[in-house]
Amino acid sequence: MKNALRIPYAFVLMNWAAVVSLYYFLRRGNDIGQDIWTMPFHTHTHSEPPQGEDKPLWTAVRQLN
Amino acid sequence: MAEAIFWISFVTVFYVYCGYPLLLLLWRWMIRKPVYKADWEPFVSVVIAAHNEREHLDAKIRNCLELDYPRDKLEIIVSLDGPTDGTEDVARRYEGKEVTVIHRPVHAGKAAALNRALAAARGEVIVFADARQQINPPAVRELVAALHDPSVGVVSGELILLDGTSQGAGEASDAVGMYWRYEKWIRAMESDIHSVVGATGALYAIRREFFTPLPDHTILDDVLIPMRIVLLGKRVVFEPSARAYDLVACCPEVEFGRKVRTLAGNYQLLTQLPELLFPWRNPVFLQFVSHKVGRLLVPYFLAALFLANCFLLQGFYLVLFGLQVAWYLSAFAGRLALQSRSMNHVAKPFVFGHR
Repeated sequence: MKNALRIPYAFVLMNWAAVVSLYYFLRRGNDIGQDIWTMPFHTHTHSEPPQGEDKPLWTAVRQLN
Repeated sequence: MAEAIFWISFVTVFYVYCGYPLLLLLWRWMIRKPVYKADWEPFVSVVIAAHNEREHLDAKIRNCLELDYPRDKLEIIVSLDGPTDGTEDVARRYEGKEVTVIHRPVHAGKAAALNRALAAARGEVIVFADARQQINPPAVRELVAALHDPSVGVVSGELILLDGTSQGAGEASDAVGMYWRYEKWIRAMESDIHSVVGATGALYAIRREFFTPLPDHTILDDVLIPMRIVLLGKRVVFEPSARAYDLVACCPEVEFGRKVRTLAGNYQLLTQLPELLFPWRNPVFLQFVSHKVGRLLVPYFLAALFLANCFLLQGFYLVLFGLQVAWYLSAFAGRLALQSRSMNHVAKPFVFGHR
């Protein structure tokens, strides 16, 4: 059930992202690429595991192969 | 008036998400352009632009050194863009015959890093790869094989999102995988008809002769480069056997940030290549407008659909209004469910298209 609720949430958030992106573009124009990395919501994609632990992506790829 | 706004909005939203894929399905059934692949081995430059990628670069370079391609016909160029976290030290460890490191101490953006890398590249074929994802060993060979077709200028690999949180890792399922598979299905059909509207940034290849330097601060090099090549009359095709692997984002906020960046990049693209909006210049005009521009416009049509429906609360329209309210309430409940889940530290992957 919870998974089913993720679809409308993802849909709404995706469309909200389109609105926010227009706001940033209108504010910065073509120079938007200059500060896109410093936007308040920009974070690293994945948190890193503690030192010594394998990276999750490599583990996942290895398991897949 | 409200009725007209309602139906225009409804038709637009329906077309972007359902009508366009159905049109592609029919179009592909009528016209399917094959790609004439061949086994050839041109000199290839794999280009990796990196800013602060200390955690990923080591694995990425090792991954590239294990590619199934003759060593004497492959170079790896790591173009560093003002790293501050020790990325340079990682790259320098591999510097030598096969790996070239270009270091610029001042952060000038990915586009500038790619321009520097391309100026130094010797390859007839350039393979672009991001620092984070892992690629499968035959990927370069597969990309190059499709580039043998003279009508093809760009070959895009496939990005496979893995659910690293599940017991046995596999391709992400649920809402995540569903959306991403939908997106890839559209790209595959676009490729069969003529061209994909942009490549997968994690892995794509071009013929060197078609590259022209990118404007500074370009956000979507993986759309701008392919679209420039499409305007030259070449195809951008999708090659699913060249694979890059990544993990799905841990939480909606991360994916949201990524998404805003991508969509802002689409607005930037329209200013960089306005001819994409001219049907007589762009051979994939309909695909571009339906796939890229449509996604930018949908939220406004959704808002118009809801507002127009507020003035039409009888009979059939009342049912549709109820469905809309239920949809947005479900979205709100989905947000609450995810919040409670992340509070329990059981973050599930979350993603949606535009990669």
